[in-house]
Amino acid sequence: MKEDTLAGIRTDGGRSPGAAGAALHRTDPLVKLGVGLCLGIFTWQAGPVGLACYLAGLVLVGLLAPGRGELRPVSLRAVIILLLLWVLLKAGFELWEGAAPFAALHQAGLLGLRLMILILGGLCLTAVTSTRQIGLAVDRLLRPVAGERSWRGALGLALMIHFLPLTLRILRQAGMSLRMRKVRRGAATRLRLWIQTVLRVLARTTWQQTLAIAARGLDEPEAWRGRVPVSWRQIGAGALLAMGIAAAAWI
Amino acid sequence: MIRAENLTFGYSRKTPVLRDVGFSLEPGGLAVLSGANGSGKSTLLLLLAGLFTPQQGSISVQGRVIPGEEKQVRRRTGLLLQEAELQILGTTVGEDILLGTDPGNPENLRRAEGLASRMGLSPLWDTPVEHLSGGQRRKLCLASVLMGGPRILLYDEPFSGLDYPAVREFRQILRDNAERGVTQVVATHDLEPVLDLAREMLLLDHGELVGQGPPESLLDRAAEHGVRPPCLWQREGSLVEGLW
Repeated sequence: MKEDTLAGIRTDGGRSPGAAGAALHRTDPLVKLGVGLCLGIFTWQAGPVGLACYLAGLVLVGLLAPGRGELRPVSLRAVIILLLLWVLLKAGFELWEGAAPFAALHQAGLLGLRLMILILGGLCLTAVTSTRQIGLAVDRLLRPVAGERSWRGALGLALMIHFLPLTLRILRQAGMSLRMRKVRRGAATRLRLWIQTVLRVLARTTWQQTLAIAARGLDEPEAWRGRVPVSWRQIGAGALLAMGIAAAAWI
Repeated sequence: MIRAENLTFGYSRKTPVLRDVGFSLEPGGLAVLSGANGSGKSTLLLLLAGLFTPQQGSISVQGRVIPGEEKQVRRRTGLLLQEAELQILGTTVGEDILLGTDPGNPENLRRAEGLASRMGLSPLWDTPVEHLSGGQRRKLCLASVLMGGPRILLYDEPFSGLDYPAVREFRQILRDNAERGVTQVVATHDLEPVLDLAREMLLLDHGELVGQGPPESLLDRAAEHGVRPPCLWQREGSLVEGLW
């Protein structure tokens, strides 16, 4: 641990990267966010070949990413269900509007691929960038616009990342409690009870979370400021990658 | 030194949670704050941490007075909440300890590594936080709180949900902190794990302070205020060393 940190590989307490992924982890988070944003935009412009290039690139990043196990924070089943749902919906709408079955399937498939790239892109970004790094990048990104209040964006993002799994767990546990208590009511009543429970637990959790943030002193600007050296080489590499992403959209 | 005078506070004005509470604690010692559920222990800790302003009365923490100097008080105190889960915001142990500090400063990294080592978390530095046990999470929270360098530590039910080895480890950490001159206040309804470490005891009942003094002087009255005295105390009439 110490050798890595002394060599400057990890100064933010993030996951210890493998040799190949170290460079990715070290890269300026702002550059990574920029490339991610570019990918997000051009995913909606690119055709099948461009999308296939993006997918291949993301799989490569996934393989190089430090702590690849972290690429699976979301259950694979949930992702597949989400993708299938959107693909089916899209195919259904295309058919409804009178498209030929093959064309409808083509459009639905493209949507599925785009969503998969966006999800994979998000997972890759979080795998090669710690919450702390993302927070610092957001603070820098917002500073010209939000001024002294830019740290709030960083805190907001960190909280969002923290709250997602927490909320998912609350949703799951509320459903499980209803099933275990064998509530024999109509679907509408069960839905109301579920929403009520979720909201109550979320409200309590939010209150406690607020206290926890304040108790750790994370609600102050100093907590989100850090010296991140600007590397023109990394910015150049990021710009090149962004141009590559843009070019792939026109293939 | 912590001093509270005529402290009254409620989350709504109509129902005060604390009424006219006053006490003083010497620096460097460990005080146990006890009372039944709903007696106001957690609220008193939040006030001492500078997270709320009392509706009446004042709190003085190392010369900083609330109302008025909440921010300064917050910088001098560290609060460990009961729900460790919510206090952990980092992805890994290392990231969480360093959260809120300048990552570009090597001194911060050295301090964080030192704290991780003190808490026995060094081998887990890169471990994702969701893989930690309850005891490890509690220790991680404490390490993160200690990164701020507080001279006063406030713990809300630090032993709840911990197994026997984890309680023993945590007791050792309390001892360590005491030796380093940190003033500690432990809010708990379970006196057993902490009583022999405490120099002072505060007993709360329905928002009122019904007793302050050495633990031995209050244990006889604890039960009538909803606090179970330790079993060995009940059996032998005195605190027994070596229970833990």
